[in-house]
Amino acid sequence: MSRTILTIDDSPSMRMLLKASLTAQGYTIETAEDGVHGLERLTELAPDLIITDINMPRMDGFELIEAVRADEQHKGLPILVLSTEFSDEKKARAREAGATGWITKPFDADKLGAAIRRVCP
Amino acid sequence: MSDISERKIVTFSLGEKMFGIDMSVLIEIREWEAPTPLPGVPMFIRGVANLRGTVIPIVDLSERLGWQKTQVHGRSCILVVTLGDKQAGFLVDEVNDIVSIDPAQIQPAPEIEIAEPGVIAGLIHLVTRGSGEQGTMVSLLDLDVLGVTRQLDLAA
Amino acid sequence: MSEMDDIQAIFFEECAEGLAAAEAGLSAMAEGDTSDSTIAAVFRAVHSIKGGSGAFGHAALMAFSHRFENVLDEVRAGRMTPTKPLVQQLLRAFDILSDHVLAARGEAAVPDDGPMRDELERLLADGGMTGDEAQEPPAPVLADDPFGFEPVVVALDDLDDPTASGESWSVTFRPSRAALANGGEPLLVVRELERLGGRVIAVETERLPTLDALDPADAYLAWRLELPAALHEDELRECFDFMPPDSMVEIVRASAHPDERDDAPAAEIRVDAVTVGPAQTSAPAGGPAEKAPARLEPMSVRVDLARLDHLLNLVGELVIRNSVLADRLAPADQEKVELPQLLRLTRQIQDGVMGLRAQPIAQAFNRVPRMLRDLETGTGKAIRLEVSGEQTEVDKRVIERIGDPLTHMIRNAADHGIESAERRRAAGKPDQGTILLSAEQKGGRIIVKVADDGGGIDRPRVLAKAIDKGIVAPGAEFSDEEIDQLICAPGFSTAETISNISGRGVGMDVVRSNIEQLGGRVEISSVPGQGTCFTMILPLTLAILDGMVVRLGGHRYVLPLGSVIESVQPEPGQLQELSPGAEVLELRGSFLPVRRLTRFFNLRGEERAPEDSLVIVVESDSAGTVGLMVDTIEDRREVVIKSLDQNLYPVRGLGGATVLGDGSIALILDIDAIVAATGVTPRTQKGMAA
Repeated sequence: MSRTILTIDDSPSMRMLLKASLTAQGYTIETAEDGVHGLERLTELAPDLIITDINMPRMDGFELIEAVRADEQHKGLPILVLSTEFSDEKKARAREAGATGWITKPFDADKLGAAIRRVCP
Repeated sequence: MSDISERKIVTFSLGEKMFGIDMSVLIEIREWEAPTPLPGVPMFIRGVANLRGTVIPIVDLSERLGWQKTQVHGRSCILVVTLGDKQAGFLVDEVNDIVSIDPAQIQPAPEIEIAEPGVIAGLIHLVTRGSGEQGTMVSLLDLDVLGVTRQLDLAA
Repeated sequence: MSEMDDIQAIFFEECAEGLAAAEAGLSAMAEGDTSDSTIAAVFRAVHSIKGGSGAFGHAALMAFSHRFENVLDEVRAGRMTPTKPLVQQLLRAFDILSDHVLAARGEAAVPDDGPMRDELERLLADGGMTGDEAQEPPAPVLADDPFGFEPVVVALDDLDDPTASGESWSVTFRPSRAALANGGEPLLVVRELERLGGRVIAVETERLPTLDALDPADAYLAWRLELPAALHEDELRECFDFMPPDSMVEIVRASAHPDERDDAPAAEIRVDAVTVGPAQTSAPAGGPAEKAPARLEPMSVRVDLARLDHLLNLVGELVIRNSVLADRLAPADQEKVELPQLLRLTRQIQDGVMGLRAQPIAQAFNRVPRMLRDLETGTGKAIRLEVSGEQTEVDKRVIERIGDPLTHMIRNAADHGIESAERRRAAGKPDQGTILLSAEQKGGRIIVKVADDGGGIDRPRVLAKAIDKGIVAPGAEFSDEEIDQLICAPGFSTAETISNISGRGVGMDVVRSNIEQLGGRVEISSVPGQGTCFTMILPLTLAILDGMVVRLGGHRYVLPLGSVIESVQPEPGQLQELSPGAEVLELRGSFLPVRRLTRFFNLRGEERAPEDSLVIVVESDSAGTVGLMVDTIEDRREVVIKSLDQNLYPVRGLGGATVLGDGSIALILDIDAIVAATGVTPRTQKGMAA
């Protein structure tokens, strides 16, 4: 049974790119366009992993992660941040919020796959 | 499997002369019906007609080519064709036949008095319905050259 | 890879939206709105463009947008103040960014951004940036970066690679409690190492408590693995990327021991365990920026324009079929509630679908600010732009085709309309010139105006030039308006006025024909010393018209109902001919100029006597109230407008054609064009009322 990954990014082209790349690696991909939408889909889908951007309207990545960790049902869910930013400050903030890992864009498909395997069985 | 180098053409007459156009551009053949006339357009545009909801111009092909105005009679037909992304209907005297031709047999176009040089793409000798065994010379037309655009018609 | 092309196409659309958002934000900032939400919007737009550009390999775009984003980040974080000069700089940087996007799309050459890049660097340096943020993206992997990794990794330094020694790796891993938090699963790391060829040699369990003391959220185990010598250290390190800093990870070269139980690390080269930099407190630096109020963006869908057109056609057919159906019903049945409901429903679908094609004309206006900035630089003049009515909705086709005409008119206004600062001062005008760009919907038309407060059309010069070019004969007399119209004469513009923007000669004649092809027209009005106004009048909807069907000479025609005032059957003798071709109808004390449509359509043979005809009184934009003579009125009907330029070209006097229920074609009349084309100028008729 393939794993379901919920990818959250406000850029449609990025969502499509991720979906194409990860589907080719055997995952089932569902998408959301920002934090608010992401939380809705989380409840609906119960995915195995979330991959999220940071800079998004309505609710950014940090808030999303905090919200997921605060949720009894989903607090153990692995969450990877996929962002163009790479400052230590941001990464630390993500970890504070509860992210499991951070990947910087532009991403290499293989590295992304390896990163996913490290957090998602 | 048919030989792909073959082309199908539909032959028709304008006055005494026989012409042909590629089947691939032909949408349909219609009986003559008077189109709705337009004001201030060249004489060879007889008007517009309804092609399943689309408004298309009806052009007197003979007149368009610089010859006599076509006298409409019982066997007059309109060839509805695509010209690029547009559609138009051409009034011709009589539709003759649909034949397959061998492109290798096409000869270069002759020098003749015509409004639109280049519209005759070539000549071919064919035996068609009614041509008798000797056959007849058919002038192949490239209708795209006749694009019914404003620039071309300003010259008219 | 066509899927990639599709995705990239979407990325370019996003870029376009991002650029529009950024420009709007920067313009707002130039006007003084430096609220957090405005700045954040600009940042997000540029950030988004940067993100995608990397993914699609547009290096120049990514590099520039990264720098630009850095500067914007400084402003966003409050470390740089958005002063007017800074915002001007940002606007210029934005222009370069736009050019980069164009280059990435293959539509232009890569811009020379050297000067602007230096400028951005300077801003970053002066603004007191921390060295961190100004790094070239993406930075090479730092060995003490515990929390992430750079997928675009710098090539390994081969000197550090002791593969020659043939010694395998020994990795010891003791995850901390924190490693289990945040959804982490250390076992997956072990699996990953195994996948790399590793083998678990030992599991240290001495810390494992008794069951009753076991805390499921805590970590008690440690693993030791042996991994093949051929692996690079970095590959091993990567596996631990997501492990928290307080987990113990030891990666050393070990001499190959056949004894699996050997757990004494024989480290030749000891690599320090992964440590973290100065601990970050839980308050992230900079604080969360004031979040933009949760403005719910309406969800939107992208639709292929061809599909919309198809849908529109189908709706058109639906309207026709409705009419036919209604006609077939007996009058008593026509009253039954189902029919009005059906007609109302169809009307709603119609409105909805037509609304889909309509977009705010802002899309066409948006390129003007940038154009004006370039023109200001090119002409050395200071010009202000005022835009109004940019939310006016017009058909997408209008937006596509109005671009070049707009460009030309704005350029005209900047080049020829607005005078130099000295001349303006001498005339008592403010140094800065103003161009007004407006759009409004009025009476079934879209009115777009480009007006300037410059010196007006220099009529003597225009006339002289026209005579010079042989457009008009010398000695002829012309009214002011006629001279203005000479600007649009073919051949008036020459090589001197070739536009930089398009690179080809774009004269007003081409502008006029572009607008006419859309079914509209151009009007010019100018007051010497005060300014000039170009008005483009365009049809509003290209689809459905409320019309009056009339009969004339055996054919049917449609008049736009919105222009019809009344119909009159002339009494014998009521129609008078003042001079050949100029007829008037006396109506309630004034004289109404009358046009015979038979003359316009060359149906002279079919002319009826006035008493057997009807005069439809219509309102025209150019000539006031006019009467059009037809044979009879058939009925009032909603018709679907079929454009003549789909398969032919726009014909003067016609606003298109329509297919009636019985399949026959009725031509739709363009009242203004007909009035203009027939008879003398009606202005001479005014004031002759009894």
